[in-house]
Amino acid sequence: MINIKTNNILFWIKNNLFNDLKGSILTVIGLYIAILIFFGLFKFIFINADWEVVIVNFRLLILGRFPIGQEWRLIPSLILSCILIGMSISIWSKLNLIKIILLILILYIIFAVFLSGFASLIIGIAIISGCLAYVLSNSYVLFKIKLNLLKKITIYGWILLLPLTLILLNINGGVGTERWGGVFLNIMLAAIGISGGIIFGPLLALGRNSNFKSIKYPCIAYIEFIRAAPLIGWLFLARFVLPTLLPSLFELNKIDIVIRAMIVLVGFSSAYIAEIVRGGLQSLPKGQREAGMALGLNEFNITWFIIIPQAIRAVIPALVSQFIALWKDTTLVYALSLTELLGAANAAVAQPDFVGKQIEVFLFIAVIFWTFSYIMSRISSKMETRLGLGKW
Amino acid sequence: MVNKDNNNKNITTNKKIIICENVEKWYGQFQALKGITTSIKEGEVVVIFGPSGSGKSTFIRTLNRLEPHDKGSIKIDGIEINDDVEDLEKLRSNVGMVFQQFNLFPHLTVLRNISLAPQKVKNLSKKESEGLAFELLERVGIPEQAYKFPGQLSGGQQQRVAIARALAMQPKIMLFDEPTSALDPEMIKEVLEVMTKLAKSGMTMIVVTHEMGFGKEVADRFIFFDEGLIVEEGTAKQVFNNPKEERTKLFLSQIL
Ligand SMILES: Nc1ncnc2c1ncn2[C@@H]1O[C@H](COP(=O)(O)OP(=O)(O)OP(=O)(O)O)[C@@H](O)[C@H]1O
Ligand SMILES: [Mg+2]
Repeated sequence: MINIKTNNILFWIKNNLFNDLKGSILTVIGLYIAILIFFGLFKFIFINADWEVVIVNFRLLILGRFPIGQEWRLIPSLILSCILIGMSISIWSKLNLIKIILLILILYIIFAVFLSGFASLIIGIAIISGCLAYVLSNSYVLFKIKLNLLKKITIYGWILLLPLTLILLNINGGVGTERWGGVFLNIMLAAIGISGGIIFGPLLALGRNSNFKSIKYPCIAYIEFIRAAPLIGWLFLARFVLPTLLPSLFELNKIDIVIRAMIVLVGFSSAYIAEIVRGGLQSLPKGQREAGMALGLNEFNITWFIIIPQAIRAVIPALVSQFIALWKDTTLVYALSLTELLGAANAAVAQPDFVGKQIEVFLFIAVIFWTFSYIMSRISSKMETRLGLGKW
Repeated sequence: MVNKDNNNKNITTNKKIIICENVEKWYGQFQALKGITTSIKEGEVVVIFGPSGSGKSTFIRTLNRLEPHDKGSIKIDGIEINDDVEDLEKLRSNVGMVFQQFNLFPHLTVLRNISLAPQKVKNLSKKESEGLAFELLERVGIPEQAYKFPGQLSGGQQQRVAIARALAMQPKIMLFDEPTSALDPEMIKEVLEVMTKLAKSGMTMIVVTHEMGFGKEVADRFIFFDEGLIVEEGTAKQVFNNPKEERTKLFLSQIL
């Protein structure tokens, strides 16, 4: 067995990397560059870098200027998301044991290095509940629960996560949005932009496809208008122009800047998602609608049960690209002088103690952005293969 | 060969369930139906055949108003079908339709494909509608496929699900638009068998098809379409043995 395997690998290497002189030279050069980069990074991360700046500013990078002593508001959401991640992996993904152990080890190292005391305890609890949720939902049969029910619970859990977080942030005095910051702010902005886009985008797409001109043209106008300017333009508009345009009517000019950013993100992502979903609508064969009509289903039922689910499935890769773009675009609110992750990073490197430590900080936030984006694109490709089979 | 002329099965009443008078249909400048007048009795099985582009699909699609007609009148079960028809959805649920391309909902399981409309249109409970779905799957011979998705079935199985789906609304009339022409030869038979059973159970059926073996076995009447008109109609004997029109003769000589 092993012999065949190694032979195969050698064969593959010979065929693909060293099949002729030109190929061999390219392989050697490529290998050299890869090793150079790898060792350079390795040396920097473990020897040259001084992670003090990240350790000292860890709270700033994660939470911004979130009031000290109010972190409890985030703990339930954190634990719930870990549980949901555990359940989702168990239901939809086939991670093997090695991958899971690796994942936990990495998480643990990150938090052991950067956190101490109470915070690391909470993170520890969250990770452990995630693992427990994974193990328990892996053995769902023992609890006489059907897989479908488990899926439903998980999906509802994800849907309820954002409202729950918002409620916890507002009850009992609450933490004003002006104190939100760090990667937490990016996550909230992206979550709200994406959720709002998922709700309003398909509606706009249907509106644009509508036969009623009084619905159709306003939708077209809105979509084209929004798409005609860059996001940062709309953010600046919301920040500087609107307050002067809108008189103090309804106190619109006093709406908090973070809320304005949220409104802009929802409005912006809705327009883009609308166009993506419209592509999906057009890709459906007209026989689908006709089959629904022939059964006597009304317009609403046809749209809701037949058209929309298929249209969205057809465009999942494009939708996820849009989500990833929006996630990274949340850094643009830095221009509104909010301390989101990038703003927090800049604040950290501006500290006199840490002059010249930009690389450490930016490497750290790059890893954060990359991790989230990568997870989203993995979910997307997972969904594609599953939905290709018609499965949930 | 059983010829339908002496088949005494199913036309129990003489009630005309479909009455078409001078039905016309235009696509822009092109006239697809040029005045169709015919009527169909309860329990009758009618096969429509004719050259490509002759308006067969257009005609049966006017019967459930997937295509609104422009002139003339269509009455289904006593109700005139036009823009004022009160409850188009109700009319449509009384007229089942099976398409050439199956048009199953690919994102739903077979079970859900069948039980969706009874739930949403007839307000059956999930349990009732799924019970009904299993009964129908039994009837079309694939109860074991209930939890699969359409993409996991063969063409013949998909078309049988489509038939079950249409039957789930308990329609009075079933329309079939070339139900076997997208199928591989070895699957045509299984679908025709289901349709034959249905015909023999007394269902009113209008079938666009060129499967004349099936037609001769179950059809009470054949209608030959050409260029948007009914050129000839009659029993198998009349149409196949003594066609009156040259066009019919020519067409039959090409397909038989
Ligand atoms: N939506 C449409 N727009 C314009 N012309 C159409 C449309 N649908 C059908 N037609 C035309 O109407 C005529 C009749 O079409 P129909 O589909 O009823 O023919 P058919 O007898 O069913 O043919 P086939 O055997 O190929 O299915 C054809 O010439 C076709 O090109
Ligand atoms: Mg046709």
